[in-house]
Amino acid sequence: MASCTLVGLSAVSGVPLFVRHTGPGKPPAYALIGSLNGIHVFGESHGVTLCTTRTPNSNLMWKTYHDRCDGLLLDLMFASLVLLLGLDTLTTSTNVERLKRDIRPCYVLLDELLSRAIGSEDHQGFSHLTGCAECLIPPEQHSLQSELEKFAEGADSTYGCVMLQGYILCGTRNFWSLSHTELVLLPLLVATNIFTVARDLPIYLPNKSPNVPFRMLVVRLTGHISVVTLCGPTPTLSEMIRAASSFWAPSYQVLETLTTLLPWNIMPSLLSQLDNAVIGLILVNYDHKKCVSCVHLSEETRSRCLSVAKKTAALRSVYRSVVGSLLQPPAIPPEDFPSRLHPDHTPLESYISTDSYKVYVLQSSSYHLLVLFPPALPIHIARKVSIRTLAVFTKGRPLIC
Amino acid sequence: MEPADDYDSNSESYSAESSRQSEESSDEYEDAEWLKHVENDGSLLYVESYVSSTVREKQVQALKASGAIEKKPAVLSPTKEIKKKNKLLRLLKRRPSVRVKGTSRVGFGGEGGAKGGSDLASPPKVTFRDNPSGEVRKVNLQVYEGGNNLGRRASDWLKEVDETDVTWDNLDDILAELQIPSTITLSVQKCASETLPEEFESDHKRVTQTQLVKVVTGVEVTNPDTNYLQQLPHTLLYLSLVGVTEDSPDGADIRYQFPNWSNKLVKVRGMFITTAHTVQEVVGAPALCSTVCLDGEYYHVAYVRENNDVFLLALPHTYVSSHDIVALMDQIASLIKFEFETLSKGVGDAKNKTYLDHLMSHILGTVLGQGPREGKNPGQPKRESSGPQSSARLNPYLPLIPISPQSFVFAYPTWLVLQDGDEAKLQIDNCLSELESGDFGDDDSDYEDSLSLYNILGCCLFYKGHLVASHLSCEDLRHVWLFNCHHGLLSLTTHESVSQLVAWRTVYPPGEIGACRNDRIKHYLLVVAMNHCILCLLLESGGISHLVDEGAGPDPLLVDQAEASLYQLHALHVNSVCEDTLNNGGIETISADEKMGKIMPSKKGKDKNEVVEAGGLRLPDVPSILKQKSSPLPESRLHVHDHTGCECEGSLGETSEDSFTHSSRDSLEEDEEGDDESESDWRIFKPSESRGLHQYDLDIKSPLHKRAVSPIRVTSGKDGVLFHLVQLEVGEGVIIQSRPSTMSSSPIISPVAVSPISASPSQPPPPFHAQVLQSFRSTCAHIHHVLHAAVRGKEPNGNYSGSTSLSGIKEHGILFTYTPPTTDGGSTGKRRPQSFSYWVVGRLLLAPYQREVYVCYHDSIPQNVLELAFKVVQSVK
Repeated sequence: MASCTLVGLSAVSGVPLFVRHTGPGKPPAYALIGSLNGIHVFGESHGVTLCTTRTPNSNLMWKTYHDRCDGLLLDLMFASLVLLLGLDTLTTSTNVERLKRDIRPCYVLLDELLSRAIGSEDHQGFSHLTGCAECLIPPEQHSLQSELEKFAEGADSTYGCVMLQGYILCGTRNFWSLSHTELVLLPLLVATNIFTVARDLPIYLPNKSPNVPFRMLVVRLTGHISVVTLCGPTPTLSEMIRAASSFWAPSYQVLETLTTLLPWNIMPSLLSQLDNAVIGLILVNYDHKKCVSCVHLSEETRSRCLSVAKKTAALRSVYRSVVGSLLQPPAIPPEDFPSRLHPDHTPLESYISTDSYKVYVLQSSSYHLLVLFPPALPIHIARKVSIRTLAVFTKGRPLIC
Repeated sequence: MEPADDYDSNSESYSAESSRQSEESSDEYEDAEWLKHVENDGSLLYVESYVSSTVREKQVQALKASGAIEKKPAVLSPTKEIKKKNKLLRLLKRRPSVRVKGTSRVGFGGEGGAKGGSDLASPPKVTFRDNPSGEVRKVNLQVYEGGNNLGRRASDWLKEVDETDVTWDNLDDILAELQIPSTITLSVQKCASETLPEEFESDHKRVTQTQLVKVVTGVEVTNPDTNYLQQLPHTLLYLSLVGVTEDSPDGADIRYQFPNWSNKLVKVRGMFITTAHTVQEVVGAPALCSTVCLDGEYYHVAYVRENNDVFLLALPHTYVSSHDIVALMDQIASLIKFEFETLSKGVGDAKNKTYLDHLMSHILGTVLGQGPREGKNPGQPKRESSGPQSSARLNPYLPLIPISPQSFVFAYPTWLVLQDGDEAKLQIDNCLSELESGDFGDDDSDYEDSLSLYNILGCCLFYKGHLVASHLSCEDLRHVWLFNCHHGLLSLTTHESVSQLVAWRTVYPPGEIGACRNDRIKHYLLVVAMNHCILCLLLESGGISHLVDEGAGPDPLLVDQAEASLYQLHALHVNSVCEDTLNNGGIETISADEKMGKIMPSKKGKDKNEVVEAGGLRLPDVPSILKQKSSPLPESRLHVHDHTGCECEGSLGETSEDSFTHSSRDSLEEDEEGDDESESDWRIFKPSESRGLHQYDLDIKSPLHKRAVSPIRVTSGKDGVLFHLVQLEVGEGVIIQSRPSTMSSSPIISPVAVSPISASPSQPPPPFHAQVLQSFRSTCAHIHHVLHAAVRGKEPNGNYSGSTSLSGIKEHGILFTYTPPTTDGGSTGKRRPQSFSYWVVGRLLLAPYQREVYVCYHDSIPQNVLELAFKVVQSVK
């Protein structure tokens, strides 16, 4: 079982702000944390920045944050601090003890990310890997979309979305202009906070608005579906609850049926087109910052060779070893592979086969498709099925665009 | 009859000569030039170039003998061929007297193979011109079964046999036609070499060496361009805090530093010591490598820890990846431990500084000389850099050392799988076994004495940097190879023919041998080389044998013994077989597909040849696909070949006309191309035929497409679809051969190997193929990493173990699509928007033992054929 430790220190004083650890074992002692930090500080003072250190099976990373963000896990961790505290609070705080206290509410988000990072069984989801929001593909998406646009307009907000248990059913046009990091963290924040009927939470957008907070208004519409809007000073939460209940009341039945999308995440008409051999998949559209995952496929039809958790772990592992290092989007330096590829030779497809599964990876324009197959399926069949699967999702009107 | 016998003569004057010579050479050991170069600690690295050498006497004789043996391959009937070879072997059986009694070493000749021996054939002083001063004698010779060993003298010229003029071309035929028993008349002329005797005397005093040899041995210290080097921050440090106190001067912790100038990374070395120690404590596993950012540039720092000392290597990210540097560091540390037992005795000891500096100039210079890694900035067109320019790359420390591309991750010797397969391999193995066992069928007390000094644990043979045979354990082989590779010996013998090379060192082999190490047992490495061949012996002293004095240097008798083995290998034509294999890219197909030949008109292949040669830049594979689509035969079939000990094969991306010629002999018989040479081409490939070694001699003049042996094609079908196949079996070897033979206009084509010691890049493959190979190479490294991360993940290692969901990994494949750049349509004349796709697949084979196979093939290959390819690999053992 993998483990992961996250240590946050004040760069100036070296005081540990927090230590989060998941997985078996204990986090390292404070003395060791101190010297790990000391190494970094020493290097910094000589103009040498220590980034990572590798051992056969693990990797240590150091990073000092100011305002940079990218798709890596550590960046996500920092961004989640910014999300709740704001960059100013984080960087200018002089009172370490107070900062420690302030950071405490972020633990939920940090722990969720850590658990996902080590592949904990009850933490599904791929958004932290893909850097894209996890979506569902509901039927009649467009009518839902136009309803939402109207609702957000009425609430004087351009950022709005409808969420089902942490998955995004649809979002306003502006909502999709949020950065990758924000699109990963916002749904996580909504899903990890056990809300009552409605909530008003001040948040900072790590990229768009790290210092000026928004009000995140979450109103539950049905048992599982909530509408989320990012607003300015108005409207108040109670106004919002009233507006939401009157606006969405006619759609209640429609929304309620959307719950049946779970756990397949895609609408039945698509589901029926998928090949029986497909036992799991992730589809990512980087341009639109969306991804869809299905790990509950073919459960009743064939012998269940893999549990959902295993499927998730398999797809995550393959994604990690193939995408980024090999397929676009390119890895952030100093990532290593491939070291000497010729620019005219582009890797477009890949597969990994193991004793218990096969995963076929397909890249097509801005799409990445990872399809999970049972181990016995020949790879050339897997390839054909994968290409067909991509067509199912993209032909006609692209479904997750 | 036998070549040696041809030189035998019953002339009295000749025997007088030879007796005088034996007196001379009986005290040869004392005179051996290399003895003067033995260091105090007994280690030695002595190389003599061909230009002028103390051993040229031997070489001249060898040349002479080989001149008689080696002729152009003639078409001989197989039965005669076999007979002749057997006789040759019998004759060349070791004669103990040659070695030990000190008679001149005649007749165990180097081969004069047209290509490999081209340098051998032209030592400056040997002339075969007609010269009035050369006295011609006629000799009558009895030829009978078993041969005789009459005296013969160096530098004689065999002019006529039975009144027939002997030429290079017809000698084999003449020999073949001899009746046994019979009496023949030889006409022998004394060599017109008035200068030879004097030269021979003076050579002992004056050894001139080529520049390359001087650089390799460190005789001549070149002054590197330090300004340029200082711009490349690279550092090797050995740091120890033992005995360092607060008051110690700055740098007291640096026990070894290369290069000698400081940089920012040296200044912050304390950071790396702490990291190495702290990370080990935190994670429970040793730190391998850190990445640091300095002035906007990324650098990798690899660690090796020994007790509390830390050995550091830092290189820019633009030159190596972090995986590369870890692998490179492992090589360096392994080599130092092999040579010095521990890091602290090696790099920790100031007296080794000069030696290590030279070694590091080799290693780091090679890395830096390869230039920045490509493909970093896709925007920048750097296409040519893997092409012709690569030959111009030089080691910035030792500018004369040529650099060939290396893979650090696959740091294993390249096997040369001999075309002749079993037969040649058997002969080589026999020869090495004889050397190892000291079994020469005689009771030579001198040699017995020598044997009681050393116990030969095993040996291995390299030809032009490629491993030909090994009797060493996997780990030992790797270390011996590291030694040869990093000291530049492999590169030296690849590029130059040496007349003598003797290297000797106390070594500390790891593993089983090392485990039982004690003071009573010492291990030594002896390396001897001649021409392009290197023979390495791993010796044990003490234990069952006496313990030799430390610092004594190699036993001359042993060196002599090893050299004799090299001579014998020469006489067995191992050189020419190797050379031929190198030039022709590997292994033959042995099964013929009869259907294929009918559809494949050989004309077509020729046309393509011309197009390619004229076209310069080529995109040949793109048209190939198009043709393939329209042709009814792309059902690729697999040619199964049986090569014992052939671990990996490579094939070419391009259709070779030859391969069709060979693989379709039946249909070719009525082919209009059936002239003499092409006939001989296919006849070689009759599986029923047993070939003589002579046939592998190459003739430079012969047209390219008429070469005797074509590159192997594992696949059949109209176009080559399998590009590369590599199998990684540690201890068994790696070979990747990729030679687009039909594309080159020159008959000499260097194979491009994934292994660090590839052949000379003088003939780089055409750009497209180089690109495919480049993708293959880096992708293999990537796949290797993924496979191994998964394998490692199974073992508990430290507090932070990896994810296990990939642990059952078996295979990883990546499809590449090549899109021809739209801008350079002019060179091919046709714009082809069609892209070209190929797979690079790595498979992990766990049973019966862990190994990896990498294959690169065209997208159109059906899966079942690929499966067959993997099956072949598995059955090949």
